[in-house]
This record gives sequence, C-alpha cells and structure tokens, in this order.
Amino acid sequence: MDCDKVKELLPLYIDGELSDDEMKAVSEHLADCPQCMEEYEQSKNIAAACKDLGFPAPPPDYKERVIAAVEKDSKKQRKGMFGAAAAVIAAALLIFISISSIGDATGTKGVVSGLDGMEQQEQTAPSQNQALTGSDSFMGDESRAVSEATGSSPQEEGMASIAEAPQSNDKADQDTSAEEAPDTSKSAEQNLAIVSANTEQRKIIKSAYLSLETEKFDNTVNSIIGRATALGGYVSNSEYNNRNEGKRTAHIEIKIPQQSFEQYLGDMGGYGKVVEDRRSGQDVTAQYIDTETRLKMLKIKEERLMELLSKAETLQDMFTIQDQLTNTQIEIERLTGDLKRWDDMVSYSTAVVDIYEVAKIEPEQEDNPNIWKRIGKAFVDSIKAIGRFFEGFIVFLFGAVPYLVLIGIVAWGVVTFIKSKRRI
Amino acid sequence: MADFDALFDEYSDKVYGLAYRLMGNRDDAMDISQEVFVKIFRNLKAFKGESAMATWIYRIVYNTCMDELRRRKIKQVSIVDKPDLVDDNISVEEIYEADERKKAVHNALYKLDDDQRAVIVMRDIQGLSYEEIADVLQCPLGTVKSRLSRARLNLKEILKDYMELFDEVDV
Ligand SMILES: [Zn+2]
Repeated sequence: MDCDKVKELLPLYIDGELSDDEMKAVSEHLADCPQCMEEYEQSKNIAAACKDLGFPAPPPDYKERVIAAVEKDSKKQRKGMFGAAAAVIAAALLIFISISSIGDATGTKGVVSGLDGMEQQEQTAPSQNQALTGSDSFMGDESRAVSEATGSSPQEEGMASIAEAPQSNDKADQDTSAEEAPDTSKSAEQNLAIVSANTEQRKIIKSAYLSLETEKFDNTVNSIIGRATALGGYVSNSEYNNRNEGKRTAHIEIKIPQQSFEQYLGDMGGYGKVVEDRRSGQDVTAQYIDTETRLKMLKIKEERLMELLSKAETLQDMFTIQDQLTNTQIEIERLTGDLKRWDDMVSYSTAVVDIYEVAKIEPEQEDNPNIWKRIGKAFVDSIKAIGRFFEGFIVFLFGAVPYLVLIGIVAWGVVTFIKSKRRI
Repeated sequence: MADFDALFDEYSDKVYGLAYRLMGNRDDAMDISQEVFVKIFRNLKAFKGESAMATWIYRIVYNTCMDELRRRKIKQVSIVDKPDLVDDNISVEEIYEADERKKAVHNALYKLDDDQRAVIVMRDIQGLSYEEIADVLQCPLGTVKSRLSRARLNLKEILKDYMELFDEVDV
C-alpha cells in the first residue's frame, strides 16, 4: 500500500471503521513509515481538539424563551382551529369600542370591581369566603352554589375563576342597578393595596446587550471586566476572536448584582463607543407567585401524608402513601429549585457585551443622540396603552359572555349553513 | 407540561450545543433551538419511535440549521465573513484562557462546507456513532463514511499551517 492511499484511508482508520483487510494494511504501513505515522498522529489530535471544543452552555433565560416560543406556536395553531371564535371575538371588540365610546363607564367599572374581587380571592384565600358572603345578598341560589363549590376546592383555582366570571358580572349588574356603591368601592380599595404590595417586590430578570467599538481593545476589555469585578459581578462566559487584519473581537457575558446593573451599563460609554444598547426585563412575578402558592400547598399535602403514613395500618396503605409522599417531595424539590433559580436570575442581571476593535472610531453622525431613546419610549408607551386597552377589553369580554354566546350560536349557524351549501 | 420539562431537561443542552456548532454563533443557536422545540412539540404525537428519540431530535436540529444556512446562501444580501484563522500575536490570553488549538479548530470548522462541518460536529464533538449519524442524516452508512472522510481531509488541509499545534502527542 502506498503513502497516498494510506493518507486517504486515515480519516476512517482513526475510528477503526475500515474493512479488516484495510485496517491491517494501514497498521502495517504505519509501523515502518514515519511520515504516515506523523500524519496519523495529527489526524488523531485534530479529532481530539474537536472533542475538546465541546458544546457551550445555553444562556440562563434559555428555557423561558423556548417555553414562550412553544406556547406562542400552540396558541397560533389553536387560533387556526377556532377561526370562527376569533371572528366572534372581533365582533365583540367592535361592540366594546362602540359602547366605551358612548361612555357607559359605570357598566364596565362594575364589571372591573367584580373581577377584581375574584382576583383578590385567588390571592388571599382566607378572606375569600368573607368577600363572597358579603355579596350573598345580591346573589340568587345558583351563584351561591358556585361560591360554595369554590370554597370547597381551593386547589382548582383556574377552574373556579372561570366558573365565577359570568356570576361576577351578574353581581356587578345588580350592584349598579341597586346603586350599592359602598360595597364596590371598598373592594376596589383593597385591590389597590394588593397591587401596590406586589409592585414593590416584583421579580424582574434584567438583561442587556451592548456592542462597543474601540481603538484600545485591551484597555476596553480590561476595564469592562475590572469594573464588573469591582461591583461584585463576574464573567460567566467569554469568547475571543483574532482576525487576519488584526481586528479583534470579544464576546463577554457578565453577571452583575441587580442593584448595580444600571450603574454598570451607564459606565460602558467610558470604555468605548457604544454602537448598540438593548435592554430588556422579563417579569416573572406571576409565575413566581404561582409557584410559591403551589409550593405552599404541596408542603401542606406533604405534612398530611406524613401524618397519614404514621397512622397507616396495612402494608398496602403504607406503600400507597409512601409513593404519593415521594412524588410530592420530588415536586417540592423541583419547585424550590425553580424559585431559587429565579431568585438567582433576578439578583444577578446579565450583560452581554460584544467588543470590536476598530482602526479609528467613526465620527458621531449629526443627529440628535436622544432620538432613538425617544422613539423607544414612544414605542413602549404605545405598547402599554394597547395593554391597558386590552385589559379593559378582557373585562368587558367577561361581562359580555351572555351576548357572545348568542352571537356565537348565530355565527356557528351561519357558518354551518354556508358550509352545507358549499358541499352541495 | 410535565412531558415538556422532562424532554427539555434531557435534550436542551444538546439541541443548543449542536445548533451552536452548526451555526457558529449564539444568537442563531438560540433562534434555532426555539424553532426546534416548537417543531418537536408540534410533531411529538406523530413521532412513532421508528428511530430513537435522540436521533429524531438531532435530525430536526440538523434540518433546521441546513434550511437556514441554505436560505441565507440564496439570499446573499451581504456576505458575512466567516471567522478567519487565528493570528499568532495574542495579548490577552490570561483573560480568555486562550487555547490555540481550540481556536484554530473552531475557526477552521466554519471554513468547511456546511454538510461536512455537520458530520465532524456530530462525530468528533458530539460523539455519535456512524449509525446514529446515518439515522440523523437519513442516508446510507457509506455516505456518512465518505462524507466524514472528505471532511476530515479538508479540515486537515485547512489547518496545515497550524500543524505544529497538533504534533505533540497528548492524552
Ligand atoms: Zn507512508
């Protein structure tokens, strides 16, 4: 076998993936050809260097982003399936706009307080019964039955609130017609207190992406890392590239204690020319509170199971309870882990900085440097306004459920009618 | 969503890692990973288990990456420079734990054709067997062998100026 042939076979030889004859022939050749032996060592070392590269760790918000993408997609698919429902909602939106433009504020306000009462009851379970008994005087037997059902199964929060929605609306209607103002305003006050309490301890995961241009690459990199360390932060990841033309780039991911994050980002301008500055905050308060609540309930369940276990009389009972207990404890561990992970992500903000070495900084273009910030703010304001609008709309939607059902039936009838005509 | 958690925990790092090595940067790796998990959950019910779950998922990653790379080639609005080979005068090694060999290999990988890089990544970085790669690529074993063979020869050729890095025998 000649050297060229051996070289050709080496790539598979290092994996032992040649035929037996070929493996043997190459081995024999390598034994007395130093050049090919060297080639062989190099091939093996390149493969080993590839292995050394490994896979990088995903960013901390990886799972959240994937879940968001999956949920968005499944919503999109559901939307496709329920196109008719979307049409009904669109119709409701039109009605809502016309009503709110006429200025029937009292009606929607009533619904708001009704729904708020419901929210409050979800968050503060003990006071829930009190709130409901307070409104008993307005309710018929049917709605009282619903409230009793809610009380008996506090775990089924989601279901309970859905079951409650139309009823709250009824209550609100009666509130306004009977002009029972004091009751409504009282619950509104309580809600306000709850909302403000929540904003104080919001769980927000902050992150920022910056891209910097610099003439003094080493200085910039050292300053950025040095400043992070001074503020109690650390470098969680970094990559470095050196191109042929001598234009170096660096990709650095830095964790900074949240309270120093803004300050740190503000300092960046001193280390180079900031050409890109994107900041984001992900509010995980809702998930956090939800997880906390679930955790509390699981711990109660754990206690009860342990109690039961001590009283278990048969082996079979013991096994069954032990099994449930294990599952509960695994779940508790998982949720505790989730909370801790969130705490970590909230207490340490992430800054991702790309640094580019340039020969000479491009002169600043002659436009107002604040324009982008202003555009950004205007954009955010609009989004918020849209958010407020939809809040109002959702409240209205619940109130309009009876009408929507009617419209839905009519729409369904029309669609079925058209479809049946087409088929013929 | 319990299924999701289990599946995510098992495959998330591998999906991200494979996407990163195929695409070459973190932003793309993140976008691809999201797309991959969306596809996984759309098709989970259709997954019949005719191949292993792992290779099925890697196949989705591979196809998603190749589609994206192909789409970009057709577009060619602006040709983004592939990372060039590493220069020798590096001054901040202490910060980056610079490993000359890793850098050289990393940069060389992105000079390979996309499908050749893919087999190197799956074989040498991820450590899949030839059979698993054939399953991911949905091609005969012979094709895997010839493609990997060519890929390794090309990689070595790209690295020929840096061969002294690969001479010393280490563990
Ligand atoms: Zn030879």
